[in-house]
Amino acid sequence: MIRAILMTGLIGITCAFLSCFITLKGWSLMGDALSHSVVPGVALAYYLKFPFSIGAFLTGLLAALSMSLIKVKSKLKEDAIIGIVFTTFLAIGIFLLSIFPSQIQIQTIVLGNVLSISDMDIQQVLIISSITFCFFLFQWKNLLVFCFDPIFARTVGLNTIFLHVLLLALLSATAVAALKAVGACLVVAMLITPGATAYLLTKQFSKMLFISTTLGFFSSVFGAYFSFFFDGATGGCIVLLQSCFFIIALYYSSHKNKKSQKIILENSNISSESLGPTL
Amino acid sequence: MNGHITEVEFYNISVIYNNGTHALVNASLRVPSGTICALVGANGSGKSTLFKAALGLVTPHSGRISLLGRRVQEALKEGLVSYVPQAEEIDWNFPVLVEDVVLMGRYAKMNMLKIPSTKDLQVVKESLAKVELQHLAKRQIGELSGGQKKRVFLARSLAQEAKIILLDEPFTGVDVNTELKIIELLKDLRNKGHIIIVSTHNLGSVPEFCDEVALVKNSILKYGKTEEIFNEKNLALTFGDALRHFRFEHSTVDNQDGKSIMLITDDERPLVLGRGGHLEYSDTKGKEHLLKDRHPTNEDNNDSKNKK
Repeated sequence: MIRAILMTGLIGITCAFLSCFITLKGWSLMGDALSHSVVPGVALAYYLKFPFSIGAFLTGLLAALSMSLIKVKSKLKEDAIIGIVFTTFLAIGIFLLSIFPSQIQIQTIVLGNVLSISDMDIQQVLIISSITFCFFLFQWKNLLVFCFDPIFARTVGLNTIFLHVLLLALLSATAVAALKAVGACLVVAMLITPGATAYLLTKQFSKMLFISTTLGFFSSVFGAYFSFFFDGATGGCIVLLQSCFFIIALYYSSHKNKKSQKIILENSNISSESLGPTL
Repeated sequence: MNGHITEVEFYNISVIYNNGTHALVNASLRVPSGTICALVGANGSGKSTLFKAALGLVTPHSGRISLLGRRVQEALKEGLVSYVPQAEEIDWNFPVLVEDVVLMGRYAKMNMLKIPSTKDLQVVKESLAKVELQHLAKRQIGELSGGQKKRVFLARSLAQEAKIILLDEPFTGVDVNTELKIIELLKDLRNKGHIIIVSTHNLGSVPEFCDEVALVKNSILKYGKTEEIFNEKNLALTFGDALRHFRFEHSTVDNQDGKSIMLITDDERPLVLGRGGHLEYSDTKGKEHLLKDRHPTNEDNNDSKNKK
């Protein structure tokens, strides 16, 4: 149990780190699509007898690149492209699982099962997290510029195509890592909610990263613990906790904004009398 | 390519978008160092496309671009080009402070981990001082006024220390004071040998600070010294029907010497105040507006009686 909780905590940190970029880049739907697009990869990996993480990562990346290519080559809007691509991949996965009988249950993929985590799963998560953090260590500022102003990123010599593919690859890999803990359905929450919550609480990106990863870690650890305690779905508990944090942050930030606006009005030198009568 | 060339050259550039639009056809332009060049043209004339080509965002179907003797990708890698965007292109809710944005301008000169050196921080401080925003360094960018936002991106451009500066509509949404400050800054950079290309609708400011003008209408119609190129005839050629003309029936010169003045504007309607208050048009011939006082004074009435 301790092992499962700690691994979930590590997944929570990794997802939360990435969620800052995903939220700011406006790729929330992309995260949702990728988490469903990994299903055919898992099915094929079991059939061809290689690690499911590799299969899931490859199909996830393929789906992401397909979406990017269709966006460049067509005039379709992003939400339509995402909807078409991920449902196609999901359909392929369900079809493969139906014609190639295996020990995988679709429910396991969709809802996750952290209790059945094996040593191999832990190794995969450790490898994925290590690679993700290495890339972030060297590239987080480049990714920040890319998310903020991609045109400017080119003028300071950044390879925006590389950064685009890198972000997609990291997203794909992280979704795979989180699959075991929370399942395909709720991976998207781990990739969005911590970043969105942190965004409400700070104006500075470095603080946003810190808040997001802290929330990601604690919600994952305590969510996994509560799921054992209540014998409930781990993914559901984690995401519920994250949602609670989000609601608290939303209330706090709107309350803080109202207070700031009131102070600005009180300090303002312009009064209705000096402007003249209103019409 | 020759690294000793000190100019920007677009030679017979043609750009066709995926939807078949011919954004630019055989556009040629050469801007030497120590020059401010205005790109003037109607909406959709290809000004932004020219910038996109210089930034490597679109690949021309034909022609070549030389930025200080280098290809576009080489020039971008060396950090020779900086770009000041329009306000609409930026997410102002992004959680970055003013100083963070300006520091981004130094990224091309930093190490792999992008840890700023003492010199980088000093350049950021100086760049903010030049645009008079040092007191707002710790503000989130969305909290700034329109003019301040423009200045932040100008400061970022200064921090880049790029030789070529592309400005896309730098005067949109800024007040007169900010406009004057930006112009002074650009003149200073010009005097130091930078190449500055400005896309603008603000026709009135062009003769004040632009050495050269390129008139754009899906190609470069005319290019040269402002005093030679920037006239009514060429503007009519460039803009077609998209210009407003305000003819002042009564002279606006202090002594009312009877001379007639034509005010030409692209997309803005100027407020014109006469002795009696706001002047409005009374007659329109095509795009020409004939202005008269809303409340003519006694002197005006006597003048019109004498003319009869």
